Amino acid sequence: MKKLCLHPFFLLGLAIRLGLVFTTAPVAEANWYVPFLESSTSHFSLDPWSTWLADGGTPIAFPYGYIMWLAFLPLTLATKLLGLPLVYGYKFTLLAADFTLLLALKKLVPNRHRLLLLTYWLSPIVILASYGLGLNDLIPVLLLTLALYYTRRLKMAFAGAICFAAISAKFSMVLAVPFFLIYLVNNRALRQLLPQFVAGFSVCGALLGLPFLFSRSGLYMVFSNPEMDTVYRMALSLRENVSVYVVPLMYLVMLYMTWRIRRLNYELLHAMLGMAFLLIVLLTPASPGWFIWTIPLLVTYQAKSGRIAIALTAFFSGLYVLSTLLTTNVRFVGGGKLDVMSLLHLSQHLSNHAASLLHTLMVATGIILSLRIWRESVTRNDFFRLSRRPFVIGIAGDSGAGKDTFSDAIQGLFGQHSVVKLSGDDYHLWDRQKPMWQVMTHLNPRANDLENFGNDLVALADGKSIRSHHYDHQTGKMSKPVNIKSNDFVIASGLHALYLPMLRRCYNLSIYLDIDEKLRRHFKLQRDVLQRGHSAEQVLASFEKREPDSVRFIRPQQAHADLVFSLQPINPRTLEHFDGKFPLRLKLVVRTRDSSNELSLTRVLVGVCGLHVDMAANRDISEVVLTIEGDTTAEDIALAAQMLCPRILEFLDIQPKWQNGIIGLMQLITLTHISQAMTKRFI
Amino acid sequence: MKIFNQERFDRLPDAFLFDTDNTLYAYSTAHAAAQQAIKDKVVETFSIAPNEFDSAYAEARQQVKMRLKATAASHSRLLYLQRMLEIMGLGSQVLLALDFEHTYWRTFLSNAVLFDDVKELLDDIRLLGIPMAIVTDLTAEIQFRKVLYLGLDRYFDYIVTSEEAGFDKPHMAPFQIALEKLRPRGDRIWMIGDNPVTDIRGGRERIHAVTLQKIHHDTPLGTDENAPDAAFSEFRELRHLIAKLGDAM
Repeated sequence: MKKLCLHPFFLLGLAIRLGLVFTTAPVAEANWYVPFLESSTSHFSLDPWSTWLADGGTPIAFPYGYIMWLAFLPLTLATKLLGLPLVYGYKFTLLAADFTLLLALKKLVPNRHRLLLLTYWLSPIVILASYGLGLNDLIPVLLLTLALYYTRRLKMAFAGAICFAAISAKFSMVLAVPFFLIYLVNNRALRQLLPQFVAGFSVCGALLGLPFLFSRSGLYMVFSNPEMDTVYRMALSLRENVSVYVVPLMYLVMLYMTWRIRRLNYELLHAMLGMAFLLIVLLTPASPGWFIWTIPLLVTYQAKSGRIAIALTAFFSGLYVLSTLLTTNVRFVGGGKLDVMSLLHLSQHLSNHAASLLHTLMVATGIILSLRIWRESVTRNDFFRLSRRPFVIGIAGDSGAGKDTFSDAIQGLFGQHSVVKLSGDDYHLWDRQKPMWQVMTHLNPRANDLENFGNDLVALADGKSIRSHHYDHQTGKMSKPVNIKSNDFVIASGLHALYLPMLRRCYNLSIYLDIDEKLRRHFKLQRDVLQRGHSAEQVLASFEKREPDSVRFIRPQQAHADLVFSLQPINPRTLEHFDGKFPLRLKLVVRTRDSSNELSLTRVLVGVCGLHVDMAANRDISEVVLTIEGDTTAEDIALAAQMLCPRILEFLDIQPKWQNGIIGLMQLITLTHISQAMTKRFI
Repeated sequence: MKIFNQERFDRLPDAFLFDTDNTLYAYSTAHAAAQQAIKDKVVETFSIAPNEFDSAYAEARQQVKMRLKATAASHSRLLYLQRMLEIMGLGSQVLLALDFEHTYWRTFLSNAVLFDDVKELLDDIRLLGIPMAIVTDLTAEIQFRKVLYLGLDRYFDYIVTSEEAGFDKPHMAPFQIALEKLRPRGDRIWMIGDNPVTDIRGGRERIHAVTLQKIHHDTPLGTDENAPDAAFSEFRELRHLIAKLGDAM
């Protein structure tokens, strides 16, 4: 903070602010806000609005709820006690809110001090509206920005409470609430936090909203405020007495577009909410203070974009200042005023014309900014791109290779709420008791309804729901068909998941699990006897029966996989004497094609996870082979993922289930490949 | 950038020596987070009060440091934790000591962030073709892991740890070994570090280095015999100085 506060830009902004605090005497401040605060502190009441109106005050003086009043109260009382003019209590409260908003934006845009000071602290919009014209929109905008900050930190109870506080400060902030709700409902990982948001919102509502409902004068002042009517000013007349209001229409369209994104991340929430505010401000004869609503969006957009964005926003801000000064005078202490119209010797007609032209140019620039924000912050956002089509992973491997365990591990990262699994077992043609299995093994493609497996996969990849049976391994029977909805991630696993070219074309990432044959038989024997209720003799006999089909139909699929995981015992003889007393020591051999991150992966596995890694290329350098040995923990894997593929972490569950050991390594490597595949898909 | 001995900055050096901890990244925040993580884990594992951990750990650290004096192993978290468990009456508890140590370093690494402009500075030096080495205390394994984690390995030609040298700075050995490895063309060496005793005084007295102290809020400027030739708080200031000297050549 010291670095920020000693920056020349900060000192310049502070000097401008202090200069205006001591020299300006804005009308709104002198005629409405300060007299209201004077009245409410002279005759202290929990219903200051009634006291004010009873004393003959104007209803437009303070059309805000408790939070706005409470925000100004401490410094108003302090100046009163010190015998200073109350106007300084008002102005320094604004300055405090202004500085706090700078700090809040610093949290949202870290390590960009210079840019932040340039785009926020020196923003002509903030300076003119707050200190030149005395408008108080900084308070609700600060609260809304804090709500966004706590939303990003997943402190949803705080976010909900502060969101209501923003509405209490200025009722227009209610426009933001549906965006928060859509964000929490549509982001499946965050949906579990919705009750926290609602609870925070409700508690704050009960404390600040309910008492306000008992103030008839307060309600009258808020809802009779002529500013509320400005949103209906732009209308398309359909016939006599019936019009379409453009601003509410635009707002509803924005809400629908936000809903249709299906899954929002924080950046999308911020961008969509900011764009809604920007369009409302542009399309209404808004108070100059409303432009402050757009500032958090414009600051984050400028931080993310480049010089053109900064130049365009500066141009927009300059037009705002000119058009505002042509229509509104800045008044100074002692009665002087800055009247641009008189300074330029413009007639009223010419001045109106010039103001309209400038306003038109400003709206045009604002619309260009909105379009750029849509293009850069929305359509290029990874979440937005993913919402167009699910990410599809195909996992093939022999029976007992660990397809289910591996699928569960990947599902554990993204969360059950974001993954749909399609299992090849559910497409066996016959129940286990049927005679066909005497002449055919499950490994034979003809024993499986691969056509329907493919159709269902295509449907899920297209975002559609399917109806599918489920194969019960205990009973050996298919269930009745059940409805399965598509999701952000589709994991299709099965003996033949990579068998048909049509299936392979559906996958964004294809994986083959190639386990050491002795190890596979060991694991399969354990699973089929202990979990699926088969006899040991049955399982042992099936190995020999299935071997030819495995060679013919299953193993060739690894040639089509982007990534092959091969689990092998470190010492091949271990299994001969394995009695279960000591854990099996295994190594993971990873073969990849068309991948470019092996070097960074090796660095992190060695440097962070403390593993032994050998890297080699095959003869025709079409494949890279990594052999990884050693023990690692889930925490190390999580740290490694943070280094290797930080962009994808946002897609994971709030508490992703990282695993220890080899499965954890497989999770990490798969994630790096998902990250690469996503990048490729988005290009 | 404050230059106290202007005459020592008339040209670019023949080699750069850098300290690591608290010079290239903020040590205190990473250490505080890591220390808190093991404290939380120990308190949760043994159901003890946090101050019991604090006192046992502090005592263990003091004992290890006293026994091993200025050697790399005297900084070993593993030894501190092993001794802490022994002081708590639990024996050496090899598994727990290792687990706590992993927790410490994992948390440490995930909270270690390079200061602004460090990589840009190192890249400037690389382009000038001047050799660079890290001269740092502590054991080789963890320092290597830090260098890898922070992505510094591609910039530095050599690294010397006190484990390799047998002594911590300001002993002659680490500086001497660094110069033997670097084989600089001339004798103008810049030593950049945060510690006024080990880096600044050590660098000047042992190898007559031009000393530059990295200053931040928890490292006061060295005075008297610990006074550096120059001090800076932002690496961009050092970049400007190097660019200026480079242009003048």
